[in-house]
Amino acid sequence: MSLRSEYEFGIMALLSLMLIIPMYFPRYYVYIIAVTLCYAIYALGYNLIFGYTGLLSFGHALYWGVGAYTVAAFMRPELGPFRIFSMEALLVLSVVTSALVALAVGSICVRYTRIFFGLLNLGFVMLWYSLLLKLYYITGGTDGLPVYTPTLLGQSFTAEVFRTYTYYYYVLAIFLATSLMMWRVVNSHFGLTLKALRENSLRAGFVGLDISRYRLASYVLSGIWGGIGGALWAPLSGQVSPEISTWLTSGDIVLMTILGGMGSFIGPVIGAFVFLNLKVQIMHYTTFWQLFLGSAVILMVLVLPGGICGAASSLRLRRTKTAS
Amino acid sequence: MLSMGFDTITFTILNGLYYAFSLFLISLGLNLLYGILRILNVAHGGFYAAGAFFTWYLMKNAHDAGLPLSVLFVCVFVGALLVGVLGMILEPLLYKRLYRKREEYSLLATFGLMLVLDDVLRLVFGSQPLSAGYLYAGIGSMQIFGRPFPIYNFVIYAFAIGVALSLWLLLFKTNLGRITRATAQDTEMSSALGVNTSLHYTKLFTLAIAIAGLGGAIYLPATSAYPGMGFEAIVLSFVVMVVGGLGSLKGSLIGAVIIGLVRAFGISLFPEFELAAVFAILVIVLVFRPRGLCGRKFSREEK
Amino acid sequence: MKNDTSRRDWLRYAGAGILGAAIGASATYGTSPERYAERPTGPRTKGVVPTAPIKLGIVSWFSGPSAMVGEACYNSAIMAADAINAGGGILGRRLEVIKRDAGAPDVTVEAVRRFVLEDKVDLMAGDIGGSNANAITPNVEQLKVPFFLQCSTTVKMVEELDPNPLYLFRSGEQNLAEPIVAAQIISTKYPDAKRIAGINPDYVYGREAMGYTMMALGKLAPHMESVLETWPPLFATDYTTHITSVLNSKPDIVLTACWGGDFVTLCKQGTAYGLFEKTHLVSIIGAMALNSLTKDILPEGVDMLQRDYYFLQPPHNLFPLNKWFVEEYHKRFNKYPEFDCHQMFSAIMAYKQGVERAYDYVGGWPENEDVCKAIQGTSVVGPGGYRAITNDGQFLNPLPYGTTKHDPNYPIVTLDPATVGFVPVEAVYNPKPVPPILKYKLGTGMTYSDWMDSW
Repeated sequence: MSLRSEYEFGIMALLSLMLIIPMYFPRYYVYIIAVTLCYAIYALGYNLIFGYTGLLSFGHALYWGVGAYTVAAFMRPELGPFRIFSMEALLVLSVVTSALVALAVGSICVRYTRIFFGLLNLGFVMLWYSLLLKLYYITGGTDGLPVYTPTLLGQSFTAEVFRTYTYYYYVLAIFLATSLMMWRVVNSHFGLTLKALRENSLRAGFVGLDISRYRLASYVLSGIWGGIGGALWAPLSGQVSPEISTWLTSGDIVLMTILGGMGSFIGPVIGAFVFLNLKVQIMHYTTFWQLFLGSAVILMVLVLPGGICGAASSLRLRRTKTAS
Repeated sequence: MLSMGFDTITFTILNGLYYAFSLFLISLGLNLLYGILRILNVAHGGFYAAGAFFTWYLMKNAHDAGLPLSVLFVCVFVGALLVGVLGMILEPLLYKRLYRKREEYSLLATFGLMLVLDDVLRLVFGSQPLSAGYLYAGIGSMQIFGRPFPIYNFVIYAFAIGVALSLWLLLFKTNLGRITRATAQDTEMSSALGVNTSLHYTKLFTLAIAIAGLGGAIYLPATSAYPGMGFEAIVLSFVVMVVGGLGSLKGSLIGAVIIGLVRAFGISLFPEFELAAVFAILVIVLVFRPRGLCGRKFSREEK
Repeated sequence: MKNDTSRRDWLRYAGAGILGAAIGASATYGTSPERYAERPTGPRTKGVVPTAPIKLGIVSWFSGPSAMVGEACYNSAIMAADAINAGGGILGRRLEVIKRDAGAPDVTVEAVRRFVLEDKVDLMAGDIGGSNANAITPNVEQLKVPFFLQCSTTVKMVEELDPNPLYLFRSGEQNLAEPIVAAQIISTKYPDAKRIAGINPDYVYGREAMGYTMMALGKLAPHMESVLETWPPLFATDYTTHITSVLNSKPDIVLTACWGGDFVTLCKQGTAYGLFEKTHLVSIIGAMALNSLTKDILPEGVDMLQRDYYFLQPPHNLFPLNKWFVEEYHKRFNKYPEFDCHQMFSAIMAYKQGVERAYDYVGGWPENEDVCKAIQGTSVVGPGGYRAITNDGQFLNPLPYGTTKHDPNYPIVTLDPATVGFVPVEAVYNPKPVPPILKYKLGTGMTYSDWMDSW
């Protein structure tokens, strides 16, 4: 079998598996996989700014938080008749808010690179976090805000059915749609330019590219994806609290991307699946998940900088070499 | 502000300095490592925490054995020393391999180490907060403007200033310091001239880590050691580093003092603010003067 | 062209996806009720009781500054379980206790869900704090497993989130109760005070405590006003700045709702900065940290409310259950039980009672709904005494309070027996008509006539 059809077959098998999961897997695992899909969208967005543009941000959880809090905020009972329950409307609103925040924050951040870029994003996410904590009457402070069950395409479901069945398909559909969009983005002229910027920004500048504009565009897109992920996650969790957007949770997404392999398209998605499911499994046996995942990261950086995907592709390279 | 009496202002300043010096002690080591070794050591918070935990263990056992306060005081140094030893072990194992890599990779690896350190400390010492306030209570309080003020705070001030002075002397007035600074500027030249750069890096690294451990150790009697304290400490030190200027030792002192005083006056005047004020300062500095107050100008490759 | 090829591929994938979805949709298995049944729904045979153990899930703080709270909950749960199992279990079934860590609200919600969906617990209990309690309330009703909330009963939960609970039981007093009692104490004990300051944790509980106390004081002692309120975050470690700024405002009384490790740190730092010398401290819930409050950090003369249980009341010579409870707890864990322990014990006993009553009524092992209905509107006895349970699952607790004292018999700070009083539940919710707080010294030999003379 050729490389291409192997790949196709694998993807189709995976897709069919994803579709029948809610029927045969225990309810709790359906919920976990739905959560993972949200993180996968978030990771895809992060990979754009980290893997493809080469900028390490330690504050990406800001957008996850913005998306999640947008959903929660528009469902607040205080809004009375202006409450929005339609998930489609809430998603659009989240895209708008995260785009606006990303535009504002990004226009400041993309002037710099490397460590400063990372620290500046860290500053913004922690500023957001401390505002969430302090503005108790707006954001609920430490308590956070509850998230009620939204309607999907106008249909409402009971909470149990929603969370463990119907919403899973909805999230899967949005995941596929956003992955397709991201695929188009990175394989377009725009994506190639980003890679050029990552490799050698000096030369790119000489060639005449407006570095800041490209970086800003990449940043805003990654922020939007993060917002979508957070918005989708909010009804699953039922509660948003300030802890979801700190520099530490931003670190989680960095770990996921590294684990899966930055620079490859599917890498972060795999990283998200591995990280989250590993965490759930480790937590079955011990609460010391940080120990394992931290060690994994150290190993990754020292030994396997390409992550899982990097290792897989070098294995395949070796196989094809020996085959020919 | 004008309505604050002289005594109020004095107390607020003293409190601000108390908070500031803990930030100073961590960010001093951080700046040393970044300025000279170009590693942003996220795990520095973990070493700070380790200092607190090790010192707790020593103090608790010393106290239970009935040893006098002076011995308890020595425990602080021993705790810091132990952390230095920990650093000395980790340097060749992990950090040496990071010197050549890109800054982002070392950031990630040290982040992983931070997670590991936090969990290891939790594994060894448990999840409950551990307190050993014998020294703090034992030294007692003095009256300032008619209100008690713990004398131990002055011990902290003296300590922090002492560390700052010693480090300055070490780096600028001794041979060792001169060689270290030269190695930092131009590693190849230094080793060509016969300097054992690898050994120097190890020494420097151990010193920076020991200072972090000292920070944790000296503050333990006043607060307690609890899981997760490293994360809190490191994020605030990042703020100090940025405000003071990445890699600048003078900057870590000035930045820490600014952050500490702003927080203290903020809580006094606008009690709702607190943490947000600190991060707001971070953002303001990054937007208007990203190199910090004492940092060097950006090189072309960093723009 | 490369782009065309990928588009064709994607169309193929989409086609496969749609086919898969069709397969999926045809199986309406996903929405059928059998899938959501908690237990196999077969005919209930009279007299049949399952033999598997009953699982009790404890969710609370097991790490961090307030790990003492989780420890107290868990320890008292296993004490209750051992006592029940020694007596034959609940209808012959053993009671098993498992625990999970609470955290931020979304983490706690997930822990609760995992208890129900993965561990398949029969009931849950724990002290999780007001923020988490607000978060889990709607989930508890959906998950249909009884949850005995210790201590964290917010006004918001009672009024807004779950005004008619079935599965949620609040074994602790409502957050409204203590502010009213605190206001009563302040207005009667310190009638000349004018300036009140507050150091309270910045979350729902702290806000409600300070807010409602000032509201009650506004009615009971309108000349008192709040001069400064500081809001350290929950689990803060540095209170020195807050203490200093509060002392700067020269208050007569400082109110604090800090609990657990926060209260311990506050006391430690307060002692060094003269908080106790310069002003009167009224602690609403510091008693939770009972075992960490040693004599060097907490001086005498501090007013402390005890939520709903003080381990020396009812007096051990008059109430054997309390005597057994305190001695057994101290023997096993080398600590004294605080109010979470009493609440946990009473809650588990209430569950046992409810199951037995429901069994008599139903004739077989009862469903959770039956058990809950059998608990509401009854009463239970715990180490602190008898507690009535209202029809909305609220345990009614009188509120003990007192002033601290250093007793050589105990390593920790206790209350001066001469100052210990109870505010009965009726007086909590109806303060104005009640005369100044009356304390009859139980078990001390004082005659009624002497006591009435002393009014």
